[in-house]
Amino acid sequence: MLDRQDFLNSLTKAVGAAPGGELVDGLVTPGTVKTRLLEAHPAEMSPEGAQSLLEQTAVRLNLKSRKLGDELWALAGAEQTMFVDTLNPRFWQLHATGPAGDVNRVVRRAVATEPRLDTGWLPKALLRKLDGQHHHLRLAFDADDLLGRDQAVRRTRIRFEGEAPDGLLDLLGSDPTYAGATSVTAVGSRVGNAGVGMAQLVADYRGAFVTAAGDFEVAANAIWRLVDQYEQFVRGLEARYRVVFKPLEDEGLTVDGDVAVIDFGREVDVERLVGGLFLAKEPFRLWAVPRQIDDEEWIADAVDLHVGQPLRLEFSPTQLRVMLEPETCGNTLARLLTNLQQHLDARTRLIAV
Amino acid sequence: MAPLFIVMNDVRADVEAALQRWGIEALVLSIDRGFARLDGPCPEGLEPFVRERTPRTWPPGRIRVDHQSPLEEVAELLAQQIGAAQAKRQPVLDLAEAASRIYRMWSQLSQSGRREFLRKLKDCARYLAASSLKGVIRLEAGSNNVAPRILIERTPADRDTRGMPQAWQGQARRMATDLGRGGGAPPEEDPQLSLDDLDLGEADEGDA
Repeated sequence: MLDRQDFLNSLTKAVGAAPGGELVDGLVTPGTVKTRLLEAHPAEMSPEGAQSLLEQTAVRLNLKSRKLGDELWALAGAEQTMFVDTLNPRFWQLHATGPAGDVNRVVRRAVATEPRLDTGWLPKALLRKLDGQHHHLRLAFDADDLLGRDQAVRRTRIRFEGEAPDGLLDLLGSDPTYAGATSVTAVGSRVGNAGVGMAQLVADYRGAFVTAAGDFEVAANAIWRLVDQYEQFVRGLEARYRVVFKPLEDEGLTVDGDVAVIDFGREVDVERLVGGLFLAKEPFRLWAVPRQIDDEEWIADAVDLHVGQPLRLEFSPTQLRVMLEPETCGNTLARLLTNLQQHLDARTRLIAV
Repeated sequence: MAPLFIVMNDVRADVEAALQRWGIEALVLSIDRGFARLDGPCPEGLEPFVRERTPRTWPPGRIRVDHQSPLEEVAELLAQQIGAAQAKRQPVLDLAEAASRIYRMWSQLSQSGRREFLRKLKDCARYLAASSLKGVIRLEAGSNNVAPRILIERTPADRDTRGMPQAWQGQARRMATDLGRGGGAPPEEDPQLSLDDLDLGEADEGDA
């Protein structure tokens, strides 16, 4: 059985090894380490439950699964081997050193065909909490579907490298014309220090990480810390916003749970927004037959197609109310919020009411 | 702990007069379309206010139907349950289970209330199965010993990942007719070109 520490050491060697060389420790091809955060809903939230879901997913993807160590798995395909760490049975980490495009294809197929799997969806505020000294920033705002043409800012692609990325965000955010387009798509950081080692790590809003250089163990610690914060965020959403009904004595009912209110930070054309949101495609993957109930007010009893869970959405020009069912996953709300920041307005946020 | 009366604004004066007559000291929150007013002996932290043009207009629909709701309102929520079952590739949707998710008072409901609500769900399912979901679902109405259920015979989730969104969109369009509405405006079919599409290459730099 492979020790987790030995596995991390092998990945560190793979990051530093010359591309195209032999397998490192007979296990990993040389290359940068691509890590993908996966949110899983095994039937039973336990190591055994995670194993069962992982094995079913591997079969569906034509991959061969093999146990490497405690809650550590290899998924072998025709072109590359990937590794899945299920130490946290709900928030898995997939590691691979093959081409990023191949890894993304596997992850896309996994989440498209298995409703119990989703990726992480990191909102702007959380992504900016990545450890270390930020020196790389990518903004890729795209509001074609939800805002349409005739917008002051419709699409942006900004790639910044240097020591002051926060200053650029502040600068753009202070101008009302551009503030809505300051969605953070990826952050690059130097993590660690001279004492424990250093690593170059990039994190993006879809829960994708790349360790481009340095000590993978240092990068893995930073990833774990961000994943921990993400888990707290998702569980917090569930604790607060799942609407739970309980019988009260013989004839009453108690309703527990808040309505989540998402503020767009701007006024939007609701009909346009509703028309673009329920197309059942990435990234929102929401399906509904929406209904207009008043001037610029729409409701939708929707289904999150990722996980097959119902949720109620109520739209006005400035806000969206979301009511989660008792079983609806917090990741559904995280995905909606994060993608509205990327595709509607970067100032979109959950507000306390 | 302080008593709070929540009333429609048009009856506010009557409620306030009644409270005064009976010597009850209580806050009154009155609401109307785009308007809210909280007044009365407010405790600390709950200041009186009058708000107009509040962005949260309709109250959130936490309990949306009951066993006396019209069929079209129940059909909308049954359609959502069918969509959720299709997304999970469930072959069967148990109607009593769907009822308990649609109508959260289900566990408190009398036997006759349950029967009435189930009958509504069956009517909705029958209607959908004969129209927009023809060939997609089939109703097994059940009997004394057999629970009523919907058999799901087809789901867009079985399409490949490229065809799946179109299949879901098609189902939504067909159901929109049954549910008596049009969807939101689809995005324009003629999107503007992105700079990425223009492939400018490095020509400008080379010419300099």
